[in-house]
This record gives sequence, structure tokens and C-alpha cells, in this order.
Amino acid sequence: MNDSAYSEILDGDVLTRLSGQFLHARQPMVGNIVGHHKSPFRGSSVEFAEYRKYVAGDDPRLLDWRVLARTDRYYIREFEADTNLRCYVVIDCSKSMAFGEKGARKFDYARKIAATLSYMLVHQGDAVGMEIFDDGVAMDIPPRRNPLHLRYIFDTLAGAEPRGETGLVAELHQFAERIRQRAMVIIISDCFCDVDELLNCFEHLHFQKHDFALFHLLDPLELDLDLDRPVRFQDMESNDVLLAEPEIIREQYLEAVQEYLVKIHEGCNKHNADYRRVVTDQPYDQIIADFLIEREQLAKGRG
Amino acid sequence: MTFLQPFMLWGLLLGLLPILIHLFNRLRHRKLPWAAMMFLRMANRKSTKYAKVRQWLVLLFRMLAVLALIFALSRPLAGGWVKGMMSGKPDVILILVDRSASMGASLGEQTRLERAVETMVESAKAYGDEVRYVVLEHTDERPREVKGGVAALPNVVGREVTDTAADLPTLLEAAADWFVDTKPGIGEIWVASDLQSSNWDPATKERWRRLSGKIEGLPQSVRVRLMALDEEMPANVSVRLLEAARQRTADEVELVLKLGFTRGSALPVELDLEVQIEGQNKSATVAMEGATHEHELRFPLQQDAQSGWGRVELLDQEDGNARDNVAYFVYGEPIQAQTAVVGVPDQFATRFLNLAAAPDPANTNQVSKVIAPTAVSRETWTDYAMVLWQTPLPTGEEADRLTEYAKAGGLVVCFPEDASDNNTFNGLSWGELKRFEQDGKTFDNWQALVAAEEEQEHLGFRITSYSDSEGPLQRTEEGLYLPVDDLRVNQRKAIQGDGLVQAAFEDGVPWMMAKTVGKGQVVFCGTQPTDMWSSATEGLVLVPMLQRLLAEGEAMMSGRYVQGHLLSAGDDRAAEGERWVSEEGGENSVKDFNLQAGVYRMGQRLVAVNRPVREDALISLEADEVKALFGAVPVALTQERAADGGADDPQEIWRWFLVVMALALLIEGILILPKGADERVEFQRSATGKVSTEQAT
Repeated sequence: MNDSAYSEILDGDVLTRLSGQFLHARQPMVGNIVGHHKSPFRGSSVEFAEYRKYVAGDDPRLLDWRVLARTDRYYIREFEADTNLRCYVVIDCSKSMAFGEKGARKFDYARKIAATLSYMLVHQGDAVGMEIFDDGVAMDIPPRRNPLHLRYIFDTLAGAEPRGETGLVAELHQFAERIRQRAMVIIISDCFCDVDELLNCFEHLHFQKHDFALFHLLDPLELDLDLDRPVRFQDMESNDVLLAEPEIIREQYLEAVQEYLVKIHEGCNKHNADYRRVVTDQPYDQIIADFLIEREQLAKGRG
Repeated sequence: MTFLQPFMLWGLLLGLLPILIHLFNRLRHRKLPWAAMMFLRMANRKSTKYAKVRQWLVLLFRMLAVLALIFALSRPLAGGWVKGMMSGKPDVILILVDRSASMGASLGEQTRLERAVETMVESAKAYGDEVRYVVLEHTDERPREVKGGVAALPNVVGREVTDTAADLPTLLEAAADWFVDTKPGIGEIWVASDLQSSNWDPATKERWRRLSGKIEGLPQSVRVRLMALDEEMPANVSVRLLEAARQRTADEVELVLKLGFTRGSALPVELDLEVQIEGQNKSATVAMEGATHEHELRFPLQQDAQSGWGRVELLDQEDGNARDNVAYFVYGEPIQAQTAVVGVPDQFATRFLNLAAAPDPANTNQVSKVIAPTAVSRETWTDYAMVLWQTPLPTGEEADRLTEYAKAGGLVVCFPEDASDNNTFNGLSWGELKRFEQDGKTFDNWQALVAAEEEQEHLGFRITSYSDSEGPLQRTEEGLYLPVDDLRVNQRKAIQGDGLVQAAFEDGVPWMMAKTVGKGQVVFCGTQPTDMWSSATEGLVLVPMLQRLLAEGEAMMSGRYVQGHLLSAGDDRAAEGERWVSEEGGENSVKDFNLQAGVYRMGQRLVAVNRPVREDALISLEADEVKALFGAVPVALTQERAADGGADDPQEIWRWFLVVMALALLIEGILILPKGADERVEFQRSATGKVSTEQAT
């Protein structure tokens, strides 16, 4: 994977460091083959699930003969089923994601996270699909688990560029409707849209029983507005212009950002979303590693 | 409100600087593509009026600080209630010290000067060290600031009376100049004086008017405190040497001393004198009648005593001022008064001038010498008491040398040439030659004019205006007028330039004009002493005129060039590099040539230095007369409280503006102070991106 064509979105060293880790789902997944994730159904794994009374039609091979010998009752012994998962990586490709220094744009950061997670998922046998939104659906890649599919994803990521206004809210609703089967949904966005509407989307996803995580990307400058002289701010999406003196409005700006972040974080908690606030001057491998570790701990605790 | 440095008010324009910087900053905004516009819009909406008001307040206080600084630098003065907030103390006190001889009069156990200094020091103690003290002594005329406050004042002010005369208008002019130059705050000028009229020179009204106008016109308030030490001293007698001459009679040589006595009362009194001649004391008694008296004393001298010195002292005079009881003299061979006549030797005018300058060289000390114009470069002019210039006016180096001579006390008298002369000497030059005409007819000489005159007629240019009370054309000792208006002037040259006209023709054209150059004079006479020009060749006017000019030139020439000359202390000062040693004390003498009377020697030159004549004048002014000299300038006698008199005077308030500036900067600093840690909105960052509930809120 040290192909120079993907050097902008993949880092071999990061992949090596993360190679020993595993991306766990936080809830049972419905897959189509045997995999590493819990399934809501009983299966043939070695992990005991429960006893239930024998009913006519059950396979007599599943009878617990020891229980029958001791109690003279017919009990069927059931085991957990392991399956694979389908993961959708949803990337906000609106023009606002292009904010940031060259090479350190939010979109660059999003591509790295998306590519790294896709690589890991395919290599652990899960299916990865990708949805890229701008003001509509820019690219819809259905989940597959073969390595060739991975190359298609990388090519798509490498070729994508932020453009247009954000259609995140509408597209997420459509996406939630479209994906009926429970899946893992990883959303990577700056979420510069109406918070209430965005939280409605999350409610929708939660209702569909998806295990979804939000990587909320923010540039350091967006967080602290550390500018010292009057600036003619130009909206990257609508090209609207606003002349303001950061020194004067900083306080109110920071309060607005604070209010927004609190609201979005509380909404994520409410809808059981895995919320990650990511500032683009942080190393993305650390962000991913923590994301993986926490999910692994959660999976072990549950098991 | 007035300002001591009003030009600094231009700096008020700098008050616009904060606004200009603010506008410039707004203009130099940069364009920035921005993603999080939703927050900016919210912030803009939320930006309260307070933020904008605060911003304008910051600008306002910055402007205020700049303006306050500029005002402070402009040194504002305020009167009325503002001044009432502050004390009435002056910022500076300039003490004028009159150390003239008359200040040596005793008042009990102290001299007038000691009393004056003591009183002034005591008065200064009341003001303390918050006031600057500057001392200006008449012997120096350079203001000296007292370092060390009141305590140092007694050490700085001289208590030694000198034998000089004070020139108070000059001192006050120096004081006013000091106020103009240094621009201190409120000032007081303290003057202690015996109000001797000659020291105050009240006759120079124009000078006093200018001086009082200058003090009154100062932007800051300057008051005068006058300490009048004008107690009358009728018993005081002063002695003055009028003349000391070594005269040779048929069989002996004697010293003739002409002495003058002045006294405060007219009662007859007998004065005992001690005359010291070359170390030998002789006694004499003079019966004095009236307030002034002149007396001649004769003492035999040894035949070989060519020159010497001595002193006359009044004995047993408890008159209160020992300073004016002594007179010094030197004597020697009579001095030759030598005149140089520069002109073509064969010309009549040259010969005439040569004769007029020294009519009887055998029996008088007057000698004259003709110098050809080509030989003037070899002459040392300081050997002459007068130079008569009967040739085109000097130029270049020769003019410079002659000017130097005049500055040193020499007298140069110039006569016109027949030919046109465009040169200028010390600002004076000759105009066109003009011959007298009557009905288109001209005359060859003055005799022709007289011949053409009818009865009671006066042909020729007539001199109608001249001073007969002073100057070279004054009346004789017998009171006879010189026949100036009888002169027949056939032709003349106008005198061009700026000088004092001493005689003028009917039409206003000057005939004689004098111009003071340094210590000496340059005199222009508009006619040549030839028959063609005027009847001056008759000698009735020109000879006495030249004799008087010669006497004046002789007197003007500094005595340091002439053996035995009498000098006045303070008026005749040692030139740079000259070192005069007192004959009384020898090399160890502590006497100061410039300040103290005595006999001084420099090399072979011996001079007597006495008090200036004007210092013996007994006329004193009344305190009100002195007050009147100052015009509108507030003058308080020392008995009055000068500080009370200045209640309405403006006071410097620059310190208050500095306080305003400091306050403005303080408030501005508070306004721009960043919020405290508790109030500031800061985002906690997690290295992993995971946000805890606490972090989120």
C-alpha cells in the first residue's frame, strides 16, 4: 500500500502501527457471511448463548444430552452467531471542507481517516462502502469486501475535491432510508449546518439501528478566531462577504462556537453516536487509534 | 489659557493619530475565505453595543492621552479657579545682586549688600527648595542656577562689594532674556538696590519702556520684588581723583593732584587726607564747603621719578562707606596726543589738517604726522589718538585694520575727496559732489561767494543745525559759540549711512555725522578744508573742532595703551589674555582688575583703577519712581507681600495634563485588558478527539 498515488491519503507507517488493532461494532451486526462481529441471530460459534426448550422441528443434534439424561427434559443449546459487518464511510465534500492550510485542509484530513479505516475494515474481512456528499450525492459506492474494491475507494477519495454547498442533512436522511439493514456508519464532516436538523438526521440513523460515529473536523482557526486585524470574510460555499473585526467579535464568536459544540455533543450522546471532535492540527493516527481502542474495550466489556 | 511653548500646539494634530491608525487598519483588511460563517454571522448579531462603545472609548482615551501629552509639552498656564487649586509659589526666583560700590555703605554692622543678601536668603527660605533659584550679579551678567536649593544660596550670592557701578537696566534685560530663553514657569525677579539714580538710569525712557514691555510680554507671569536700601547718608564723603600730573617747573618736579569731593550735606567740614606716594605717606587737610568740592594738592617729586603711583584716603571718616574714601592715581611724563593725517603730503588740505591737529607742538603734547596713502599699511594705528583721513575711503584689509583701531577706542575722521568715491567705511559713504549755484552761476571758492554776497546775504550751503551744548561744536568754556553758521560752503558731499548727525545744512543734508564703532567713533565731515570747498580753512570752526575731537579720541583710547591713564572699575575690563597685577599686593595680590579699585601693572604699563564717576553720584530715586520705570510689570517692595500680589497670575498646569494622560492610558489599558481566565471561552482539546461531557461544556 505504499503506492505513491495514494500517498496523500494513506500513510504506510500509520497502517503498520494500526495493523494489530481491530474495528469493533458497538452493537450486533447483520452480515452475510461469518465474520468477527456479533450477530443478532444464533449461530454456530463456540460461544454459548442460552438454553431453550426443544420444539418440534428442531434439529435433534442440537439437544443437550446431558441435561436430558439428568432431568429428562429436552433443551436445545444455542450458540452466538459471528458475522461480518457492512460499514459506510460518509464524507462531507462541501466547499467548507476545503478550509485550512494547503495539505492540512479538513477534507485532506477526512480523506486520510476514511482511507485508513476502509483499509482496516477490508483487511479484517468487512465490507466497506462510501458515500460522498456535497450538495447532493457526489459518489455512492456500495459496500464490498474484496481488495480490488479498496482500490476503487482509494481512487475515488484521491480524485474527490470539495465543492458546492453542504447537503449533509438531506443526504443523511436519504441515506438512512436507503440503508435498511443495520450497519456501521462513519460520518466525517465539519457539520456546518443547522444543528437541530443535523441532530434529526442522527435520530433517524439511530432509529434505523445503525452503529454510527461522527468525526467532527474543525480547523484551529475556526475554533479560536485568532486574527488580529479587520478581515473580509468570504463564505466558501455561498461567496457571501462579511467584513468584521475579529478583535471585537471574538468573544461572541467563541460563545457561538461553544454553544454549537455543546449542542452537537449532547445530541450525539442522546442518539448514541460515537462523537469525535477532531482539530486538524492533531495527528490523525492517534485519533483513529483511540477510536479503535475504545471500541475494542467496549466489545470486550460486553462479551 | 496661555502657553509657554505655543508652537507645540501643532502637535495637537497628533491627536487624530489613533483614529487614523484605526481607519488605516480597517482599510488594510485582508480577504479570507471562511467556512464557519454561521458563527461569524451569529457573533456579528450578538456583538453588543457595549463592544462597539468600548472600542470607541478606547480610541477616545488614546486620543485623550496624546492630547494631554501635547498640552503638557506646550506648558499651559491657567488662572482663576484652576490656579487657585495650586499654591502661589513662583517656579523660579531670579535674584539680581547689585555689588556696586555704593552697596558697601554700612547699615549698623552690615553693609547694604550683606543686609540685602541676608534678607533675600531669609525670604527664600519661606519658599523652600521647590523653587528654582537663579543668581544674576551685575559683575557677571550671566545667570547662574543655584544647585542645592536654599541652603546653597548664601554660598552662591557674592557678599563682597566691588568698586564698580551697576547697570540695572542691562541686568534686567539679561534677566528678561533668561526668561525668554529658558522659558521657566512663574517667575519673580528680586532686586536689592540702594536706588542710586546712576545705576537705574531713569533718563533712558525708551530703553525702560522696551524693557518693561519685554517683561510684561513674557507668556508666564514675572513679578519684581524690590528691596530698597535707600537710607540717606548725609555724612558720607567720597573722594575722587580728577587729575594726577607730573609737572616740571623751573627747578623742581612736582605731582599735582586734583581731587573732587562729594558729600551728602552742604555743611562746612574739614577733611583729613593721607596721601601715599610711592610708599611714603603724606598728610593734608582740605576744608570742604558745599556738597561738592574740588581741591588741588601739590607734592614735590624727585627729579628722577619719571613715573609712580599712589593713593589718597580720607581719614577718620565715619561716614558709613569706606569704599568711596580712597582714590588711586598714577603719574608719569605728559602723554603725547598724536594725530595721523592720511593724505597726499603736498595737498593743501593735508597740510591744513596736519597743522590744525597740532598747532603748537613745542608747547603742548599734541603732535601730528602726515602719512601718505601708500604708506598706511606700515602704520600701527593704536599709536595715535586720532586719524584724519583725507583720501578715498579705505577698503579691504586697511579698512579692517582701521575699524579694529576704532573698536579699541580710536577716532577716525574722514574728509571727502574731489574725485568720486564709491567706497563705504563702517556703513558710511560719500554722496555726489554738489557745488552751490545761484541763478545757474557757480563760484570758484568761498571767497567768491562772499564777494557776490549783498548785504545781509549768506551765499553757499548754510549750516543751520548743530549741537552747541555738547560734541565737537559745543560752546567754548567761556560760553562763546563757534561761528558754524558763518561758514561759507561752496561745495559739499552728502554723507550717506546711518549715524548720529552732529551738524546739518539747511536742507537737512548732514555736514558732520558720527558713528560709534566699538569703543571708538568714525566721524564724517562733508567738506574738505580747502578754499574751493568752504571757509573752514579760516580755522575758526575746524581747528577747535579737531582739537575737541582729539581730546575725545585721547580720552577714548583705552588707558591700557597709555602710561598713567585712569580707568574705571568694571567699565574698563581686562582683555582676553591680559593679566593685571595689583601694585599693592604684588604677585600675591587677590585684587581683581575688573572689580576692584587699585593700581595695576601689566609689564611696563601702570594704570590706576577707580570707581566709575557715576557711582559717586548721590542722587537716589524714590521707590515709586523705580516702580514707575517698570510700567505695567507688577513691582512689590520687599515690605509688601509679593506673593499676595500675584493672586490673579496664571500658574503652570502641565503636571495636571500629565495626570490626565496617565489616567487616560490607565482606563484605556483596563478597557483593552483581556478577560480573566474565568470569563474567557476556551476549548479544551483532547488529543484523541474524544470529548468528555465536562469538556463539551
